[in-house]
Amino acid sequence: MINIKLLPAYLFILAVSNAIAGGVVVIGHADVGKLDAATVQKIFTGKLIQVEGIEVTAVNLKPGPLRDRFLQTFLNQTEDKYTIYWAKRLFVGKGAPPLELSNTADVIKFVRSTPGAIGYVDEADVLPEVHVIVR
Amino acid sequence: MKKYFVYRALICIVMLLSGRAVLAVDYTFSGYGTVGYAQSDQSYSYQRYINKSGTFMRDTVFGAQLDARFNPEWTATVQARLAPAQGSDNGWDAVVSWAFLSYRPANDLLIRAGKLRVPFYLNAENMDVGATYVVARLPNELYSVFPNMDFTGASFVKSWDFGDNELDLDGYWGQSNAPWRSYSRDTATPSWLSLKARAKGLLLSWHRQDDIFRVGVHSAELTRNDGLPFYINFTQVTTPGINGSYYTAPGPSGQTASATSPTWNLGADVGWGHGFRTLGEYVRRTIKGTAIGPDTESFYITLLKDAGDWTPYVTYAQIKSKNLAIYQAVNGARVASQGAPQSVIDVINATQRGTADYLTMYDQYSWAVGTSWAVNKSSKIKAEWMAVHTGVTSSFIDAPAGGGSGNQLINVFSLSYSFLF
Repeated sequence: MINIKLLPAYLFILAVSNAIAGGVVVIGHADVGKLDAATVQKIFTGKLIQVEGIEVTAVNLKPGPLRDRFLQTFLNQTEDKYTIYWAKRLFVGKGAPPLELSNTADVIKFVRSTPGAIGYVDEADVLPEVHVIVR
Repeated sequence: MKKYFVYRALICIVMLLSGRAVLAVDYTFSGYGTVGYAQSDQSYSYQRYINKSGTFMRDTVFGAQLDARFNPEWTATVQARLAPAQGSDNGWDAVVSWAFLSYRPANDLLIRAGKLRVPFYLNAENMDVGATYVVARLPNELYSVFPNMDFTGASFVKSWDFGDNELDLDGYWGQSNAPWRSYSRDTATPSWLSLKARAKGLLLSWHRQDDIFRVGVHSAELTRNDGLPFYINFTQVTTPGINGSYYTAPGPSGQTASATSPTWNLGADVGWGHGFRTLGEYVRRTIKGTAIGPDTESFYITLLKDAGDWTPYVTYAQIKSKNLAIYQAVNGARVASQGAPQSVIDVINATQRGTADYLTMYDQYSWAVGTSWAVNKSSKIKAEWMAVHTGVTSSFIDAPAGGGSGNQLINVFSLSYSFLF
């Protein structure tokens, strides 16, 4: 139950948290060109394994706030639905879900060192040497 | 030994591939399970196990799967399953249900070879994984049409992308061993016929976001593993000293070494908004070469409402054999003595009932009302009440001695917990 008297405080906290959270940026290895959101969706749902002749490897963060925001922004899915989607795909023998890494630093390291790799980070964590493919 | 050749071949290929990219192999280990309890209000068994004593044998199953991804194109999958035995009513079978190699040379083509599952029903490949669907038990009226879905062979999936829509063409061919069960009411014993099925088929599936529309055509050539023939039909005979006619096994001209089963199916899983979905499937199985085979028509329709963690549903399912007249004729054949010894008459009459039991025929429908509760994203608790009504007969029932499986009403309560990891 929301206390109406505290509504301004709730709105302030919401605004601040969104500002802190920032946007989600999809990054890729240097050999991956610019992509659109629809292509990113198909890569993270296993429907695309090649883009313009390059074999792509998606990498996820372990479940958490940033992954939630990525799923909502690019796949229009919740964590629960995404998990069930991949469980069904896995158990019908049509592939395993993307590799999961623990934190943003690991994602950046993996993407930079693995040809065809695609991951995502918080906009605030984008460094100049990181190759952004969808912002 | 022959079946292990496939596994050895797969292992060799996997080793060759892993030699090419041994540092890049990603392993995914996953598993699933259902602990299911079911109880009916009848003393006889329904679907092999369900009676008023209650059972965990009907729905309980556990499985584990290992996927090894060598690169985006090549993957190997092995799945092991522990479930109640398929060729016996006692004990459990631990089997390698899947062992196949996947090759995906392009986004729109997937080729698989090894031991894998026929992509037949909407929930064919994942039918053992209860956490991936809502209902407590997939309707047996339809999901029993293929007695063994796991076959050794090859399959392909070719996809066409139409933006938000996708069209898939699945094709498969291979063979499986299918245990075919019948139950003798007078001796209270099940018997198993081991069949070999050489099957092939094509399925076309249209995916529109979460919706699926499917049509498939299939054909299976059936032979007995014991080398004996199938009867084409029974021979109706009359004998001096016996009043009435009865049925006997035909001579060599009434036998065939194999039978063919052309089958086609339809399926749809459609959302209507506000969390409402309808799932429905239809299967028409025919038999060519014998008049006494399982020539059936099956369908079900499920309406469900996704209400957050809870998903209540209602299902209507039906199966009916097209050749029930043969069953009725054999089951109803009774003779009396016109001079023949009574012991001979008794044997003939008992044989008619036994022969009728040997025919696997179905005439039943069922209503099921239940709900699924998502404990979390990877586990579900399900509860269901189902009322089964039989008409002429139903081979899903182990009929009691002296009775029959026709005109029965069975109430079945089911409770299960399904999980995956």
